[in-house]
Amino acid sequence: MTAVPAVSAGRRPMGGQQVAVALLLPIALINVVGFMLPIFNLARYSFNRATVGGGIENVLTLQNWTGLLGDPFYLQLILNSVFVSLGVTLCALILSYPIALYLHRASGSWRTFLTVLVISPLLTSAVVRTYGWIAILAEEGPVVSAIRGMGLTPPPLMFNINGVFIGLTEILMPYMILALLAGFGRLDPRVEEAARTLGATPWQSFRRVILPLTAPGIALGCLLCFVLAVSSFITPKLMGGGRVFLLATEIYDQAIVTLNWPLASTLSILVLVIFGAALVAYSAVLKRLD
Amino acid sequence: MKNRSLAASAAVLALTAGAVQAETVVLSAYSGIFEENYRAAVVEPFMEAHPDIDVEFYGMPNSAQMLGTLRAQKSAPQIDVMILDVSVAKAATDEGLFAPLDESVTAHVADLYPQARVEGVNAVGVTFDNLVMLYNTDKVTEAPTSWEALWDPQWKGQVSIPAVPDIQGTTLTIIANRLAGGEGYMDGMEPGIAKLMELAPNVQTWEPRPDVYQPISSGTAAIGIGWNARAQVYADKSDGKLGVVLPEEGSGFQINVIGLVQDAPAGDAAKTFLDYALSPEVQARFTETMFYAPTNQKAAALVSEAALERTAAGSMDEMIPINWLEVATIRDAVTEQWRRRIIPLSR
Amino acid sequence: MMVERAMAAEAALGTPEGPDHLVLSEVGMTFGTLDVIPSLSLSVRRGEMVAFLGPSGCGKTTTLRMIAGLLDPTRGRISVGGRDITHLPVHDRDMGMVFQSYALFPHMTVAQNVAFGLEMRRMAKVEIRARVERALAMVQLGHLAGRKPKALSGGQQQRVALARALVVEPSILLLDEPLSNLDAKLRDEMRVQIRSLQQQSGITAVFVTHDQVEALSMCDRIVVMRGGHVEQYGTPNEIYERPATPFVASFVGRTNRLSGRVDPSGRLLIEGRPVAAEGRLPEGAVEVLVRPHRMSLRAASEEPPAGLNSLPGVLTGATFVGDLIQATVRIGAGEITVEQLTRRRSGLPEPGSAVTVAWEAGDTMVYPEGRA
Repeated sequence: MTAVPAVSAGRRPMGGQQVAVALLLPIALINVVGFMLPIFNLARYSFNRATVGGGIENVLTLQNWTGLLGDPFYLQLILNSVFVSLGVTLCALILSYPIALYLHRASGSWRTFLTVLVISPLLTSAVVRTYGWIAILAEEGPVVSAIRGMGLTPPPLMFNINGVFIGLTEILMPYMILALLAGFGRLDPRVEEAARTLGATPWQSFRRVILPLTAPGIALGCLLCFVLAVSSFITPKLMGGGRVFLLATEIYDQAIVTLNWPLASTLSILVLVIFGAALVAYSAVLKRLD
Repeated sequence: MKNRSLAASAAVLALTAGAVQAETVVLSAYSGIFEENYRAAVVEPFMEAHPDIDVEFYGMPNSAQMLGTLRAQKSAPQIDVMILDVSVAKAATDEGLFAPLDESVTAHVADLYPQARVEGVNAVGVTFDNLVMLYNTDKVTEAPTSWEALWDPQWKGQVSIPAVPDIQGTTLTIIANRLAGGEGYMDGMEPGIAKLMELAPNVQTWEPRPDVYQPISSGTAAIGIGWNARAQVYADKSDGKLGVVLPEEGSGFQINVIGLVQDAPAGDAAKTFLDYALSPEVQARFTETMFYAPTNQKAAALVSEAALERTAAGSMDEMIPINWLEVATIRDAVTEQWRRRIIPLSR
Repeated sequence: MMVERAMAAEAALGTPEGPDHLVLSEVGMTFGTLDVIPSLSLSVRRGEMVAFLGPSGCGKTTTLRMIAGLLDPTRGRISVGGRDITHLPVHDRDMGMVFQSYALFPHMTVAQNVAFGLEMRRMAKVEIRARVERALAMVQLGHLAGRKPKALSGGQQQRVALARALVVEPSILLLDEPLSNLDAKLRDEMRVQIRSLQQQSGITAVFVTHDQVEALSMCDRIVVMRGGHVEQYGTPNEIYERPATPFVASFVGRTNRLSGRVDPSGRLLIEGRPVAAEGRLPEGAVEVLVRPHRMSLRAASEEPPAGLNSLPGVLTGATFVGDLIQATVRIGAGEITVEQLTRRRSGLPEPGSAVTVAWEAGDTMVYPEGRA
């Protein structure tokens, strides 16, 4: 009897490890087959040569990379993508933050109702929502008419960067709100009250207490929205009128229309690099916040 | 005794099963409105005529995806016959994805228009389409006759153009080049580019979605360019809102080719289908249905006057000859010009 | 802003309202259809520490939050030093508040936490540093100034919260169950420390608690609340010795309940035996309350002590708890508890034997039946 615990105690760590390995194996395999291999293929294509008409010549060349990084059009495209995504992320943050804060403070069924309301756009495809925006912002649409009604000349809102901005911001807001809510865990209403009783005005308590405490949520939301903005192509395609050149739309064009897979792969790897940079920035921000 | 009779009946069953069991041909072509019409005009009549062959239509939204699918299935193809754009078919041929196709496969190959047979492509033309001008009949009350209508300042912000790299944009460049007095497209496109720079301020969108036909039908845009076959079909469905015109200066062809996939499983059944698809009667029937011009020279005589007028079949001579394989070599350069010089002028 | 505050303070000193510093007049709070506090009036004198004592849901925290400005009263008036603050925003009220959960700013160090209120008052940096140092020294936490709150123990966090509230020298210190998250030993220490800090600074303080020991030991006066009403407002001694209602008597300290009646001649009878009590007695059925340790027990065979009330009963059990013996005695249909200090050579009668329970007339608390 007494020997049994000793034996099992000696074996348990090994058994636990084996179980862990067994449990991790399927997901590891799926990751290798579903993620690592395609990425590896993508990287390989980026060093192949595209032939006229969409063929791929299986040689090793740097020409996609040198061509891309030496071309002012593509450099501009990369900058555009990064700046538009940053701008959209910022807009989504500014618009989502008060909503998330209100949701965080709401309680009971009211909160559930509002949360469902916030999430509900995610149940509709981005394509449908984008067409909705096209109808709203179109030349004869309500927004333009309203601005005209006030006696002002409306700026072009559709088929240009403005449209992309508006559409992307709205499409990313639910993600931002959810990320913010997830990050608002540390925000205890008592802490705000403490600030207020110590003489902080609502603005001061926001600046000095609420904002710093919600910073992790802000960082998470921004990372998520930035990544989604860089990689979204449906909305820029539909609302950009062919005037807005972004990495994602260019990848689509190169892969689907021009059939230049090596160039499309190179651009895709570049997007991954940008994501990597965003992750590094995110963890640096988190470290500073801690 | 008992055993033998059982074995015999099993054999009979196997035989009849073999006789009744249809061979299957997998055809891959464009999904959507093309699939709808091609099924009705070609696939279903074929299966009636050949009860032993079953045709499975596998639709895909564009040629690029078809090429991608062929590449992915290279070692074990699942598709037997494919209809796709000629320049993509060239890439597929170069990669060994299409089996050779000539008169030995079907005698109809000999009857095709010369434009339908492209050197270096293991597939032959199955439909001709041509660029047309589209207009909303509420906004543009008088039917335009010339491409120049696109440049009319009264349509400022109302013109819808699918820009390069879409080949509608490429075709427009070639037409504009000719309008501006340029030589052949291989001798430089500068006059055409300059001409399009003047068009840019008129353009509402370079990326009409979901396609160019809907916004013009609905009046979101007033005028634009598109492909004839689809334009004709949508015009019929638009309650007279969508006008289609083949301008007097002529136009350029887009060619869909049909080819046999290399090492495809169906074998002779696939060839039977190909033979059927290229026959004059079937070519004529599809023209009546969807207004693609036939590629078989003997088909035109079988098409009704009404349908013929709505295709380029009656005006083959007015078409600007475009060798898409040549164009492919200058496509990147044209795209670059569009992006750097034309599109920025329309902001 | 500083000048205003100083002027207000000066005006408060000379106010004709005399010693009353914080005054609540007919304050009421309604949440939806629920009258949490129907109408409440009370005042707290300058430099006094008052406890709001009651079971949960009695409205004590709601009242505190209305004083702090974190809740807007539905009706009534709140004033400090004669100045109406009923609708003054929280940040202009000049109150220091200590929360049950301490509510320290987790992203700030201890020193930054304490400095926060001073910064909000736009005090000079040098002055802030000096005051923070003093405040932290006062709670013996000077050595932890650079730590983040999560690196502190519960008691240390509590002291930081206290320093943070006191450093701004608020006109009133509000404490919301400040000790309930501490273990018993620490709670005793903090009780002493909070009381001594309050007395040193002479600050007016309101202390919300459900713990009678805290209320009795720390506060000058106690407001016993129930269901949004004040049951009794008085010094700890008054509350304990002369509870206004049976509820107060049983909520503050423990008590035995006996049923009795006062006959038309004004005699109090329990189990048909006359019992002496002080003061005027209500006629009819009454409830008689006597605290267990004010009763004594002896064998029925002994002569009952002269001049004391006495009732016969049967000893049903006894528990030895060190310095005390708790005995349960059945009297009529009811059962009561008697507590006696243990003595070396005195034993209790055997359980089951007849006993006599005795107490002084002054320890008899009589309430009309049905007042609960």
